Amino acid sequence: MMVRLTIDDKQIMVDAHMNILEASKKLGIEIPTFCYQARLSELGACRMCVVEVEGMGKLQTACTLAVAEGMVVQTGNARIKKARRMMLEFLLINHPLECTVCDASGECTLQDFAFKYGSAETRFTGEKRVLRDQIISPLINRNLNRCIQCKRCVRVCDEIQGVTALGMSYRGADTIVGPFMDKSLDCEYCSHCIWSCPVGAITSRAMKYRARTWEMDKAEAICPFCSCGCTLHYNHKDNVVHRVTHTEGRGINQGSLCSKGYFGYDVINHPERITSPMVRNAEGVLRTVTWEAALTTVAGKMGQIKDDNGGSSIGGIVSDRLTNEDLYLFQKLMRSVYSTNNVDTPSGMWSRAVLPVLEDRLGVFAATNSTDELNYVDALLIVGCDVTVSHPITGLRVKHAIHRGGLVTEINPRRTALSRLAKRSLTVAVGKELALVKGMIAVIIEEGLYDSEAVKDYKKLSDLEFSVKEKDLNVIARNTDVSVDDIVQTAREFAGAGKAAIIFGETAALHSGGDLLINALIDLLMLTGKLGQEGFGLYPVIASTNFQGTVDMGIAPDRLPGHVEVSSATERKKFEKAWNAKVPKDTGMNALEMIQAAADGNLKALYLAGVNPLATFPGGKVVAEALKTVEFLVVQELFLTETASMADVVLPAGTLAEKNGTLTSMDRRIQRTQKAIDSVGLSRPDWRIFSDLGVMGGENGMKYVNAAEVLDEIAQTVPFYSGISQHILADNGLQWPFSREDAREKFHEGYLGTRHLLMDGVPLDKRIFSAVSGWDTHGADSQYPMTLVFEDLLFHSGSFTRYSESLNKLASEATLLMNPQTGIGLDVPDGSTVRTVSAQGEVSVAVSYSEDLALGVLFMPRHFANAPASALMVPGRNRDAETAVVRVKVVKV
Amino acid sequence: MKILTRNINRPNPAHIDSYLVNEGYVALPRALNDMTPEEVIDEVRFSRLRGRGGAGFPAGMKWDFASRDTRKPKYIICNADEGEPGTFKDRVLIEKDPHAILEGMAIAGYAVGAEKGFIYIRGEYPEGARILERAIAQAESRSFLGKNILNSGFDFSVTVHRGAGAYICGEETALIESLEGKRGQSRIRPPFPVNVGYRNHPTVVNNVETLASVAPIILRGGAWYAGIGTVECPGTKLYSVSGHVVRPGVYELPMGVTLRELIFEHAGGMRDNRAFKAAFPGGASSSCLDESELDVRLDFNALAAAGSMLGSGAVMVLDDTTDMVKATHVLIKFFEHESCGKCTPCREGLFWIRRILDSILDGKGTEADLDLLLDICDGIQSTSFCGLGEASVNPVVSTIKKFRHEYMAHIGNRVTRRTDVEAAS
Ligand SMILES: Cc1cc2nc3c(=O)[nH]c(=O)nc-3n(C[C@H](O)[C@H](O)[C@H](O)COP(=O)(O)O)c2cc1C
Ligand code: SF4
Ligand code: SF4
Ligand code: SF4
Ligand code: SF4
Ligand code: FES
Repeated sequence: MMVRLTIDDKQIMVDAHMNILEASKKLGIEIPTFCYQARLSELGACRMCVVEVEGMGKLQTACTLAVAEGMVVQTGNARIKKARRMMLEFLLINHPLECTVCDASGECTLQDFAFKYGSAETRFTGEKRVLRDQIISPLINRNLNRCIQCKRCVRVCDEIQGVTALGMSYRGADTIVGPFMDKSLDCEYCSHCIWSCPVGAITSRAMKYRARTWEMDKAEAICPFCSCGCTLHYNHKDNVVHRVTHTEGRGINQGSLCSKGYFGYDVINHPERITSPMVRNAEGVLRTVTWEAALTTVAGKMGQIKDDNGGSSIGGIVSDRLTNEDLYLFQKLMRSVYSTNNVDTPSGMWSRAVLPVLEDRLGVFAATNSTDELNYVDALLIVGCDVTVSHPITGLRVKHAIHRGGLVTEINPRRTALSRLAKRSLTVAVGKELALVKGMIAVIIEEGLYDSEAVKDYKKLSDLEFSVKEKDLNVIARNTDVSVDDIVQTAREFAGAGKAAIIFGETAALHSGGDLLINALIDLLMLTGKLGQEGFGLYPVIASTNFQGTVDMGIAPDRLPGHVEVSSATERKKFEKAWNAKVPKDTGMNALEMIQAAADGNLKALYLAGVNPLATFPGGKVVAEALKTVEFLVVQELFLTETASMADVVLPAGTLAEKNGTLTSMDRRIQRTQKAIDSVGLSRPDWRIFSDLGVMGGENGMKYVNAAEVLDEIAQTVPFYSGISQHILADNGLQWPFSREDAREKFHEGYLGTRHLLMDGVPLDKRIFSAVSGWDTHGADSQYPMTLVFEDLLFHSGSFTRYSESLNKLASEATLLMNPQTGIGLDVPDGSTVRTVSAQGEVSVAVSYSEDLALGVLFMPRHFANAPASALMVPGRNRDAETAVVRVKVVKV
Repeated sequence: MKILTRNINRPNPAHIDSYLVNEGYVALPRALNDMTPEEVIDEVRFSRLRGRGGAGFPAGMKWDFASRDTRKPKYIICNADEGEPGTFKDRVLIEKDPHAILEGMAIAGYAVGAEKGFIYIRGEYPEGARILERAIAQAESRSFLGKNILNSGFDFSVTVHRGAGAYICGEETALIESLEGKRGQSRIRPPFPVNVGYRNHPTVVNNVETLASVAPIILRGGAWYAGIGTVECPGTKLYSVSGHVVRPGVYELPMGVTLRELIFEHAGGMRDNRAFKAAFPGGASSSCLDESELDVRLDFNALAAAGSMLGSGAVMVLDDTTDMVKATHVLIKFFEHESCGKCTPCREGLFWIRRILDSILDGKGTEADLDLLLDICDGIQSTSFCGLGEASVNPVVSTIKKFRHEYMAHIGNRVTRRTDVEAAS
């Protein structure tokens, strides 16, 4: 319904749901506000936004008053001006006026409004109230005297982040904002409260006294820490990044960030960054050399090995954190210059487990839908991951959905931050998820809840029906330790929801029978018709920042850029023509095979770009062996990692803050990231190093002046990146596939490309149920009876964040989490040290009890030095590799 | 005329048997058996009973709003927070006639379609809470509360909730927040509790005295009640008289009694035969009346016309020994302490006012301070979020207006003091 009202003598028609503030904004009338934020619940506390409404004696707050037909509003008459002046005077009587040292100075609403609406004089002559402050956390500072009690921090923490770590205590002028009982902050460190605070009352300690807000320049970049693909601003001065700020309304994240995105920037200017190339000299010592010397060494040695042993004796593994341009050039270097398809990335392990299923069943190579569609799902199944930890901003979408009443069911071996908020959290041991999903399918078929229109041309419905029938729901319930009612309700909710989707993660996919589980999940989506529309679909979530970019750019031993197969002569020809060079035809080795081959002496040269296998690859021993044995090891890195220190040549690379380029988010959004500072020391952007080596290797086609030129080539060789450029990515990025014309003409009008795949439904030849047989995907192993799940921590993703001193303040050591009952069964008390032994090796680590875990399941973060995952992960060719879920036994010491 | 206080002088008055002697729990079965909910509401409407919690909102109209909202469940809340300084009349009803309150609540529940009631009682009334709980148990044992009351098919249960000592929790929306386990702070209105109250469901909040008036109205009819007191403010009222009178206490009188009658005919006149100076007729948050206003009628309309308010009917009487500035200081300290802190003007403004009063009492004030005080009061009054802030400045404004010379005397002190210093040097 629309209503007509008059504001400052101007008439306007607006939606009846609006408040006066919003209506005024439409007319271009500014009303000052402190406590109002559109995304938060209304509060009406600061009284700064008062207006006068005809017929209402008292002044009204524009932020809380709904518009009404015929309303006549004044927003700036003398009475209002006086009231605003008064509000500012009230706020300032107890405000410390320490703008000279306040980190918010220059960006402070109180400062701005005092200047604009306040009075130059103060009539308050008494002593100010002074509240003593305790430090509330290692990274977040609170200054109570600066607080204007707008409660934005409290509300954002509660309503958006779902954490409720902050609250108000005491009354009147003694009111303070802080953690429960004013203890230290125990929270997600998402930085929302810092962002929300209109003054300098909640600030980042990491940034304290580093720079004045107005001295810093901002560069819009993409966060380097996970595949959510958040946009952020690097704030820099004198070639140092001093802080990150939120980009209101921009990007996938619309400004929100997580602890890593907000606090992790200190890796950029970390004092231990490698600042010049190094080559191992005759005495076996790494020595600083010129770029010229380093590159000549690499080019010469690679050329020699290629000539002597053939390209297949050279291998390259590249980080999934690099830009598309970096990745594209890396594989081009390996293929066209070093004549090898031995190209992979650490997350190749994940792609090999998931992509074949997606390709086979749905014909897609990525998540089917956009992450922001999760905001509005009515039902959601989250299987085998903690999305709030692995993908915090995607997790935030889920929290939003819950806030709106979306029915979220979590199936995970461990309770998560969502468990408290979600409709249902089912703590299920690894391997038993399949039984639950099949139980749901059984209920849906039994009760006729499936989408009969959608399944009418599907094959094997009867097989599906048969496959779920052999077990009674009661048996499933008993085996999974979930109630029949929960299974039935979850099934009904999912099938009956207007919009329903599924998220699954590493724990679900990366265990022996993970493919069966993914197939069952796809069956569930097909059966209920939840594919091909907004709010539907399947989201595989993996943390690596540019995981999707590695898939798209051909970082795989069997695929060229654009997902095409190396084995296809036509595709190879296409690239040979474009590159004016030969592309080897044999499928190469994947990362684990390369490591094994190196250890066996069959791989002579290994090029590791941003990869630290000693910390992150399975089989610590074999990795060490490989790095020792391999004839020539090149490591391109930011830090002298344990792997880099074994290299023959170390090439210093740059962080995302130091280069231009593009990244592709987990929901296929290609986004532009911009350079904030010049390369640290003598380091160079990765793409440039690859380019130089290519040219030195004799390929003039590897010569590029800048990253944009690389992107131009990608735009020509990768069909679904066709027509892309830095320019058209400037506003929102683009989700592939997209229309070239729309991208060119409408990118600044919000054209985003394809929001969700399968718009014409599942391809006809793929309308078949897989009707998975079996009920347990993990099984039991008497020698290694426990299941250890590796997971990232909220504050760390991979080994990169270990270099963030800020994040290390939040967590810097691994402990082994186990259910107290498991602990009692094993006779290992809380806090005691145990040996955790897998088929590969063992680590000694302290036990920490947690009620959140399923029985018999253990949890450990992946990458801390005190308990390296690589010692426990079991290498293997494909599914027999245990990388995310490892069978172990726990031995008391 | 004894309506509300009809039972209080009985032996063991809080016991259900004492209550039953004098037509106790007769109105409830009459409502349940012989009347539709609409008829009950109509009867209360005819009585023109106005809420006794302070705002004087017509009870029948409030019930009607709640009954029209179709969402279930609905709730009845008895506001027994009695936090306004000088008010102690609800306590008499709670301790001496708890069943009158319970019967009123059950009738209200029937009228609006609520099955659950809460009594939010101030934390400082532990004995009252015990008495109410005992009364609830007795009523349940006789089927006046609980499931299927008196075989009528109507269910109504009551829970007593003790407050934690905040004045603001007497404000109905802050009360509801507190009852929900949240920080006691007022909500934005509209929506009003009748539609969006406890757990966001339709909720009637009525004062103890309002609810205790219900059973007699059902029993004798709205018209009977409307004939008592004044036309616009019918019925009897419990006045809590405190201060410098001979017999402070609770007096039940027809609405519209004058201040003079109340003090001199009922409360025994002024203490030690001293002269009357001023009275706050509606608790700490009302504007004071001076000697020239002794004949003002103590009802909602007459007091509003006189620039003050009836509030909860707490009449605080002050004689000529009183320093009005000190008295105001005491009241402002109360409000400063009780400000919930949510909104800027009340939180910061009261702090500021108290500081200025401190300095005036310290002999450091100036005449300009009085204008500043009035300006701050205007700022608070015109922008506060809730009634606490809005009304808190009434004592300041009214005493500056009516007793400016007393402020000037303190300010004058400063002059004297300074000359003293000069003379000494
Ligand atoms: C600051 C403040 C304190 C209040 N305290 C009380 C109280 O202690 N008892 C009460 O019954 N009403 C109190 N009220 C009034 C209630 O908000 C509400 O109007 C009343 O309970 C409604 O009941 P009634 O209609 O029966 O009067 C207070 C109001 C304000 C603004
Ligand atoms: S950082 Fe995030 S989780 Fe922590 S208090 Fe602030 S808003 Fe809440
Ligand atoms: S700390 Fe900041 S955001 Fe929180 S209430 Fe105070 S001023 Fe508002
Ligand atoms: S959610 Fe991911 S992309 Fe976003 S800020 Fe956090 S780590 Fe960075
Ligand atoms: S006026 Fe404001 S600060 Fe005062 S009690 Fe009401 S809401 Fe709280
Ligand atoms: S912005 Fe409206 S009251 Fe704070």
